[in-house]
Amino acid sequence: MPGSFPRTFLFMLSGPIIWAVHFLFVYTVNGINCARPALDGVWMGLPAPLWIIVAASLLALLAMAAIFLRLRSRMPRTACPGFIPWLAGALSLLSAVAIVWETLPVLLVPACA
Amino acid sequence: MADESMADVAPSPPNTLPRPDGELEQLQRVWKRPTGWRALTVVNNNHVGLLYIGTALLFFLLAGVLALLMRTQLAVPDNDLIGHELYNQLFTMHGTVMMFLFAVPAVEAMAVLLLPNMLGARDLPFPRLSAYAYWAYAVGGLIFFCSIFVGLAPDGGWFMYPPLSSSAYSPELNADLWLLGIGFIEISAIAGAIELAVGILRTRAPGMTLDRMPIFAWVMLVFSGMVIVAFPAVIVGTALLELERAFGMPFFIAQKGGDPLLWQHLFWFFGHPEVYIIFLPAAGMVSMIIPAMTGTSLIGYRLVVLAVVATGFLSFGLWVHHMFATGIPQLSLSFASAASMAVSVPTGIQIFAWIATIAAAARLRPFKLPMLFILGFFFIFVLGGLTGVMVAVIPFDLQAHDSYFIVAHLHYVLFGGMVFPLFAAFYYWAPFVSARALSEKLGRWAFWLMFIGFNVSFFPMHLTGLAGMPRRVYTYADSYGWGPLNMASTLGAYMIAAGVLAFLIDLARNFRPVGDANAGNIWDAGTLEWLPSRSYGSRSIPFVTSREPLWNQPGLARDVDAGRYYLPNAPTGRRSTLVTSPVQARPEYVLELPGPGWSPLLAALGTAGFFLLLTFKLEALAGACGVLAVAMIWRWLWDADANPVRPPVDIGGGLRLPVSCGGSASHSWWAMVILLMVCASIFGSLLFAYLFLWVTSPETWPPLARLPSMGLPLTSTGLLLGTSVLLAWLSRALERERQVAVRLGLPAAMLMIAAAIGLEAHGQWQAGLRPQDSGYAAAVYALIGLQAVFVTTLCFMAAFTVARSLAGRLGPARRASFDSTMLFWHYTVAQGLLGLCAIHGFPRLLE
Ligand code: HEM
Ligand SMILES: [Cu+2]
Repeated sequence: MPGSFPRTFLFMLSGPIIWAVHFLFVYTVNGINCARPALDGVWMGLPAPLWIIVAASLLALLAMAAIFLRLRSRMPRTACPGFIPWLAGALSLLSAVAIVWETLPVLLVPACA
Repeated sequence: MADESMADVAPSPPNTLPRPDGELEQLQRVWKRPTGWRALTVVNNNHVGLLYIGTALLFFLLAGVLALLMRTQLAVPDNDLIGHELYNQLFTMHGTVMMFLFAVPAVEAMAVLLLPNMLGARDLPFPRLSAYAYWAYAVGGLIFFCSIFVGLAPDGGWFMYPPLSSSAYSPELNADLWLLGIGFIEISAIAGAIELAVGILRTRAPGMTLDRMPIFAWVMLVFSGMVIVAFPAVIVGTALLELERAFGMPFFIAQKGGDPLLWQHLFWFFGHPEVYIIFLPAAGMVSMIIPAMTGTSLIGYRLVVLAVVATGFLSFGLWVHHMFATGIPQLSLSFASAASMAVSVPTGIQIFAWIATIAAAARLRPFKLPMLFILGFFFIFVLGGLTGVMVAVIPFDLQAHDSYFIVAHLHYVLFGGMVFPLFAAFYYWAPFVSARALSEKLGRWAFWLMFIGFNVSFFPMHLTGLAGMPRRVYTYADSYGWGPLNMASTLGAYMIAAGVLAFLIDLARNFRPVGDANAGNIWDAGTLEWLPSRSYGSRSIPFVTSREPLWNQPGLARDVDAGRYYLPNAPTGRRSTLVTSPVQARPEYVLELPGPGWSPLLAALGTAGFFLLLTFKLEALAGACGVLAVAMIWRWLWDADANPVRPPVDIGGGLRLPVSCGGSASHSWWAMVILLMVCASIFGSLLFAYLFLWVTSPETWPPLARLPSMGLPLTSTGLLLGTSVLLAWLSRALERERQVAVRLGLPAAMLMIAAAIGLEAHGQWQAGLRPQDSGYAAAVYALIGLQAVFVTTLCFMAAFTVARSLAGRLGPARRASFDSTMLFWHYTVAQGLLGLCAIHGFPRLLE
């Protein structure tokens, strides 16, 4: 079925795509926050942008897991049957690691120094 | 891995022998390579690929000569052989030529040469596009290189940072040559990438499902994706800098609300992935060579695919690590630092997969030349990786920044990571194109001279760097004590040159790419490019049941060569290949391919002339070249959508397939979609520039009063949406063969979409905004300008479609030109709407 190709490909690449969106988002939030401190606020002792970044990371991880669990059984069969779900899962896992690594500095490093 | 055992059972070859008389002769005739001066019209990717590699190699030599000149100058302290002006040009040209004219084209060329056969295709889907990309690159690159002979070579370093490259500090033409030259070579790279991506996804041999694709095909697919996302950023960067230099639009001038950092972001968003754009294909070649040299399939195929795809993505998160020293907030730097660590995981995976494969070798041939170069690559690349870890540590980077330590690191990575694998590939694949393999003996000389020379030359640079020698200095005082180390580096450089010379002698003596004969599968490798092949590729297209079909399907080479498999003929009397589905590689249709012709060459000459003459402000001549380019592209597309009233053809084994196909399953639709991704990436970069300037220059962001009132943009919005509706309606009219509607409707839509952009420009102008006012104004006009470029392109496309309708070449079953125009149209409308939102909505939102 030719129509299934975009879906297959997007599923396969969903992890890294979510990572990319997340990366751009947190980079932008922090950049704007430091350039325009007026937008800054403090919630529960922590600056608002930090909350936003942590929340975005959790959301990204959840989205990855959800997409993988929902679509993995609906992929076209190839020569070795598990290939596409495996690739999608492994890519998501690696992207998840990258997201976690990128989120950790938020708790360790001053935002705008 | 266990995958092999689960592979389908090999079906018996579909065709019985003997094949009909005259079939082979016809195949040879339609695929005959043009000779004499018509050799210039060649479009077959196998032939173009060879020219392409030769040209890339030429640029490697030229840039190498520049490097030798630099090294000669630096050999002793207080040398006055070369003045600082020429030295600046030398390192700029060396870096630029190595990165843009050698490394990227060389790997793209390898792909163009190898992929058709590796995938089991007769040719990739757009041979004329490859020819065009090649000629544009060769002609443009050579002219660009010659600028050094007349003192016009750029001198701002290969990354051309403003303000050094702005008119204030580089008033001469040098920088313009870089900007236009490079911008246009990028376009050629993108054209090549589109060809490769569609080719890899759609022209694989039947049975070659995604998970049976050779690693090199995976790598080139990722390569194409990266080129499509990364290169537009630098195209936008160069365009903005050129606009600043030519028309005073202050994108990068801080006093006027521009920001030189904007250049660095755009440049490195391209520049870091560029390193992987060069390295991944080289790694892909290594993944092909090691299995052949060891007689085992690559261990961890899946993991390597994972690594390649992951690297393709993650490497985009690293651009900021080139800007550690620019005062970016610490947390933002940490994001890039974390991504740098993440990307080292996949690189490690690849290295372990190679080591494991070597360890599992069935027949180890470590001292055959290709393997020798790969071992050299391991050694050098790992060292380069280690210094890479060092400079990824921010405090160390602040120390080593812009010293010779960096020069050492970057050459260990680039030379070790790309040049050594490439030489391995030359030795490995030479028998695939040449009647004779290259010489083991001379090759050994080449290897050892290059390997030892490389280390003698570049290892000491770590030390000179730590001793404080900055990069890009043309001389240094004796008292610093850098003399002996530099002398060693220079001697090493000459040793490398001697090694390359040995390789060239080898080529001259043994390399014989004579037409229809090659040395064949001398390594006993398993992938399809080693099938017996001629101009037309292999005699028939096999059904593939594993990753190394030549190992697992006994007798395959013989059966293929006897014509027992698919498409053993030229069923339409012209060149053709098989198009298969992207995931499962099921045969879908037979694609007719064009034969030799002048249009790609002439179009490339026109394009090169247009850009280069424009640099020299020869507008009239440039215009003439532009017209030539457009006319030739028009000429070549005119025949593209052939008459469809042809019955399906027999490709063997009782399989009847349609010839060509329309709509979203066709290869032209796919190419268009990829082109639109390039466009989206261009627009995204420009939008980024607009928003970035808002972030950094609050003082020049306009008070709301200067925005035009909402009436005009709302009218523009209406017009844009109107054209989209009109096109959707025309599409249905064409379905019902109502040509008159198309002939009248398209011009009307053209008028409307032109009016929309005109109104927007008029509104800004009326409100008193001038492009030279500020970074903000420049960004607004750049967004409008980009839209104007798209609208102009649309007008050409629409005119082309109307002309086809008038010539009777458009119909319900022959509508590729209309469909492409429509896709591009809807995209342009969407981009226009987003642009309007940004220009009018964003500032109001902030109030
Ligand atoms: C034939 C062996 C080579 C030698 C002897 C060599 C030598 C040099 C030298 C002396 C410099 C200038 C350093 C300075 O003054 O700052 C340099 C810079 C550079 N080289 Fe090479 N190089 C070689 C091969 C390569 C290759 C294969 C590549 C890339 C694929 C490459 C990419 C670069 C780049 C990007 C720069 C930086 C230019 C700049 O600062 O703007 N080089 N090289
Ligand atoms: Cu980098």
